[in-house]
Amino acid sequence: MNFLGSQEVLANLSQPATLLYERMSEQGSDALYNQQQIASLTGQNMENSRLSLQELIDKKLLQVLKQNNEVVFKKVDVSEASKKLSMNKDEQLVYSHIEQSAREGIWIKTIKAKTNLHQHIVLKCLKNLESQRYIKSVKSVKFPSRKIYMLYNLQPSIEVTGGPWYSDGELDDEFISHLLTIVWRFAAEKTFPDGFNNYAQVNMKTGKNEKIYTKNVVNYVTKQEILDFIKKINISKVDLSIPDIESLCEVLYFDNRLTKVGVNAYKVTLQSVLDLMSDNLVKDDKEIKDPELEFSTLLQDSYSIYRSKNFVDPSLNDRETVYFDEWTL
Amino acid sequence: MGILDVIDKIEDSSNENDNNTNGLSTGGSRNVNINNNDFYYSKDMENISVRSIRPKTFLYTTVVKKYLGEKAMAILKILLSQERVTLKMIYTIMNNTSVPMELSSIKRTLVSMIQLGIVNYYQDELPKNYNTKINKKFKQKIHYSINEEGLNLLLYSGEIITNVTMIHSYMGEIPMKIVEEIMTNCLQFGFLSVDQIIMTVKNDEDFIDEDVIKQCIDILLKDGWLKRSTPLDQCPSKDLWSLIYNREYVVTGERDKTLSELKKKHQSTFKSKEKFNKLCSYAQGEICRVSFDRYLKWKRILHISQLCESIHGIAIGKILNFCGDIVGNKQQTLRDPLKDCGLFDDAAELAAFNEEQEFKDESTTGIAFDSLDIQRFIQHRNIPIDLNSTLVNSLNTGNLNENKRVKRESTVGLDLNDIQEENEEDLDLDEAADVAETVNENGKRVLVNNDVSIASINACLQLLSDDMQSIQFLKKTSSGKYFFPFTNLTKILKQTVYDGLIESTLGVSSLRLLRCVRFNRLVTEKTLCSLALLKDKDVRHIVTKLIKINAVEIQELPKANDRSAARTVFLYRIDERHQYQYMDDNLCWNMANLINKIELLKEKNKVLLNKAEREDVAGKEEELLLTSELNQLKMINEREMSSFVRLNRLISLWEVFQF
Repeated sequence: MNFLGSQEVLANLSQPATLLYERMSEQGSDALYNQQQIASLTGQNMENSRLSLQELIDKKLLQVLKQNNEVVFKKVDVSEASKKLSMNKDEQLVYSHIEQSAREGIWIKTIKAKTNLHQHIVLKCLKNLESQRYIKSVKSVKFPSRKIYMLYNLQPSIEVTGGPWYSDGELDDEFISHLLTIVWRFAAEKTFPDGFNNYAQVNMKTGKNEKIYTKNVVNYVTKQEILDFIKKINISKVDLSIPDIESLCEVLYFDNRLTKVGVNAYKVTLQSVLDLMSDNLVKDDKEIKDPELEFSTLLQDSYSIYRSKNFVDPSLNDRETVYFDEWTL
Repeated sequence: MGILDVIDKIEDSSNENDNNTNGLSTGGSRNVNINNNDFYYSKDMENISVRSIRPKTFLYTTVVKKYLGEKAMAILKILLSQERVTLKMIYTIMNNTSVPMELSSIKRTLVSMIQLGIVNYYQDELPKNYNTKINKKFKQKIHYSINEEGLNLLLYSGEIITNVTMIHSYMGEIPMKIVEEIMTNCLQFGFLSVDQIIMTVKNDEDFIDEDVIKQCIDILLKDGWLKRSTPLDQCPSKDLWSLIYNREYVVTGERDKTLSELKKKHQSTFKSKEKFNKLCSYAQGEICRVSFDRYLKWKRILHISQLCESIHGIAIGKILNFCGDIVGNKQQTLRDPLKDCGLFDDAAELAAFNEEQEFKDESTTGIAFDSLDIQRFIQHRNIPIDLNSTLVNSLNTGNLNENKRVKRESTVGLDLNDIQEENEEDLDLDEAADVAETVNENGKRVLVNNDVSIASINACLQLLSDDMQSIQFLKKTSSGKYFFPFTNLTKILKQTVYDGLIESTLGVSSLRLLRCVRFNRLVTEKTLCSLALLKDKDVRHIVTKLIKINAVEIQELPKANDRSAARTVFLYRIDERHQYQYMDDNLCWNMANLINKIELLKEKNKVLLNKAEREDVAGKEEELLLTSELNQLKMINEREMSSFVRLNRLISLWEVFQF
């Protein structure tokens, strides 16, 4: 295999072709040209400019594209061209398909189908390209079992990586639950006067020592505030954005740990605060009961599913246990 | 007196002082007495497959068996499965079972069941143009059907007695006892006239003044705990509706013969509804019974307050509960008889009804209240509640930025607050002098009551009616008063209790997925994973569990013409009706199973229990029973108690789905 340096590629070009390439370079790398424009760039007739075009295409310095049913040309970098020139035909073919797939990447089976090459050849090409660090294989979150390739210098798109919640194609449970706790704690500090310790001293039956904010107090947090806080404490290695925070808040909302205030703001639920300290709640201190006030104890003494959510595990010798699924068994 | 006559009577709006209660006033004194000694029903109840077909049947039969015995249960079974039967049919069906029953025995049992309001009956009306000479064979048959209200009263009886007594604890000890007695007797006898209630209560406690009893009855009647009997107490609403409707249909047809069929139906439905409602609220004089509807209303308030407590905290929950007590019986009925008469098979009718209910939540007179009402309520009942130290009006920012203060309440409110406090102190001191209770206790109370100011109550009401919150417990009328949006709250209540049940039985991740599907309506498995931030393996596992209990359903979205499974997308969605139905049945079955278990336990230890209850043993158990027997007795008691606690909890969950 002959390796050509970028200078060498340009040095081997004919005069008109070099001129055309230089003119194109002046216009910028993303410009597209049709045949007339090429002709006007070279300042020669169509016939002669075609020769230069063919030469540039052969040296991989031009890319042929199709736009609105018209053939157009795009300039290719010298380094890129020399890279391609160093490959054999099959490798070039495989490489071009991988290049086309851009940040989404391409599945090995798709390459096979598109190139019509034998599996062995495709594998060999991929191996060669990978060893030269022209391409890399990435793990897709959507299709974890597929082997997907993309250009070495590209960052995989969010759809492939799954966003900040995935590391190495796997959902990062620990990271998420960590962040969820931080978001919840941040919101809790604001929702209640004493944060998530608000109910540490409260008698859960009589409501003694309870403190809550009135309607006039801005005791909710916005997504921006949460994002700023997370950035400030520098906990995440990945850069998070507002939509990421939103998805975290949504999850907390689904868990019934956050509640929405209006459209954009969140508060923690009282339930979640109580769940956190379910074992440390103040036990009922014995008060002298006024028989005439018995009607007011009906609410505090009645059974509420919101208050006693953690059911006791049934023991084997308890024969009166109610099982949730017994009916359908 | 037939029902048709009652309708005529309403139409003519004639005076209603006559003896319109004849057949019943004598029936009121009958005690329920079913002799079960000679009868033992087959034990197929122990077969799980039989009792799980329809949980409600299982529940009601167990309840009736527990309270009325096996004969009543046998009849109830027939009534539950056949829905509407004549005596002859009951007899025939009964004689086809392995345990036949005599006709007289069936009759006796039926009478007792009617007396308790478990069974309704409907006697065929004679046709209007009935002529004995032409149509000799016409026989007025009596059809029996189940009245769920009576069965629910049986199921709730213990709870009703305790709670209604406690609700009236503010009246003092003696009235409380009388209320307990009245409720017990009314539940025990079914229908009683006011005089009979007085008689039964007086019999037990000789020293009680008749006027006090009468006052208590009046209070109970006024607040709706007792209600005067209406035609619906004996007649099933379906029958009553069809009777009124058929008549109205004929009358409309006669009045205008050119009317189209559609218009005729529409007009007669409209008029029948009016007449039906009138008839349902038509109280027939002196006969009273316990109102299950009123109890459910109270329970609904309790559930709403509990929900509020879980969101806004204990103090605010209490305030909301007081609001509910102020509204009391004035709220819309939960058991509208129109719901049962088959009219709502038409979706448009149901939608119209719901809309009307929502409107009535606001427009019914006496349903709105303001902070003054609440303050008066708290003062009147001397309830110690401390709001001032509970409500915090500025953000607690710790040491960081102390100068950042949030707008305080208007100064007008604070002035009002101060004035109010002074007034209260005077009032309370006066009262203290009159009532002359112990100084200590009074001193305490005066101090406590100082804290309930209009401003703080208003702050609570504002929080409760804030539309930025997840749940709006109160709404404001145009005149600045507050009311409960019950229709909406009932829906939310069902949802939160359902969520609570899912969370406590299946775990938090199940709740997360359930709420995620509910919030996004239709989702694929992939979106569900990314929205809930769970691994697809876990999601699939949890969703399977949720599908099993009808919490989540699968929606097929075919992409190809041939509906091939490979190209079809499967989405998850939620159907609340199916969810609640399943949960309703599940809880119902568990309740029935619990009662059944208690009964089985007692049956197993029948000999021992009989021995302990014997006159010569009772009171001296420790001397006369062996240690092992005592232990056994203790175990039975403990198990029974724990079962009752569980039953109580299940009922309080189950009833939410009945609202």
